[in-house]
Amino acid sequence: MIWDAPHVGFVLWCYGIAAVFTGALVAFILFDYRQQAKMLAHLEATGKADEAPGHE
Amino acid sequence: MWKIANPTVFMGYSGRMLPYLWGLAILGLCGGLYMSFFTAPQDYQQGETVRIMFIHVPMAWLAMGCYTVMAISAIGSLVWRHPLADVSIKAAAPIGAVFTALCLITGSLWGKPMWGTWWVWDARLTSVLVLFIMYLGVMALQNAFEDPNRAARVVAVLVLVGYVNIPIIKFSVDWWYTLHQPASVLRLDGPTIHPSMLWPLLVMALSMTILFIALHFTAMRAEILRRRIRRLTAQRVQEARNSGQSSSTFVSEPAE
Repeated sequence: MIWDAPHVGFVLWCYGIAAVFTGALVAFILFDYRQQAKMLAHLEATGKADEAPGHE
Repeated sequence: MWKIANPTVFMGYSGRMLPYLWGLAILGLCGGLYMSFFTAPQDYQQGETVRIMFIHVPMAWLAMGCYTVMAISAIGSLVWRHPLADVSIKAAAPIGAVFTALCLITGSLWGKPMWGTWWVWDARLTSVLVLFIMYLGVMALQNAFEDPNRAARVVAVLVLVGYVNIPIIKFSVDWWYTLHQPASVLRLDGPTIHPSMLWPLLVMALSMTILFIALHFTAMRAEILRRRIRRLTAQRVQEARNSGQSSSTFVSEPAE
């Protein structure tokens, strides 16, 4: 089985690091896009550059 | 090409394509990972560590491919002043930097059991490290300017000058005596890898390419929104100044 093979730890570290880095990149880009969309929607809705959401 | 030069048209097209791109990327990666672990045989010399190839090689291809996308965008920015060209460069740089870093890390994890060392200063490894530093340099230069339009020309020139590194990476294993093996897939004589390993490699490479396109489009959309926010904010501050009112009392206007 693969788990008993020599140097399999290197393989698992490889895939693990790739998954973490790629996942973080995907999460960051999607989060950034959502933040920008929210900010633009707020700006367009209120027309006020420096007012917090929900603030009257 | 000029039709999607309009950011609003690009937002429309990319918005419709993105769900399919994400879906294809996820499906492709699942299929590729299954093939990498369960379909591909182990190597007669390397054993199971050959499976690192299915991550390392696509990352290397994408690291160079991403910089090529940036170089094409740089030409579009300098020669045709394409409106989305510098948006494309700004969006691609962090993605390319991550892929290059992963190429170096996975290569190091492959090198230790195979070569007995985490790193050697041979031509291939050193030139890929230079590529990583180039990505960081492009990102740093972009962030040095507050106005992205001023940054565009300078960054485009830097990207094009740095493109000389890409053929050096590709042909380094032929031009110099390197520890890194020569090309096995992208060769004039055709691939030397057995199909049982070639197919998982190609599936992983294609899936990661689709993932890159999805990430690139999403990052470009975020950058376009960021610039709209900057423009709207600047407009409203200017209007408030012109009317002599404070920035908190002007009337909201229709969206752009």
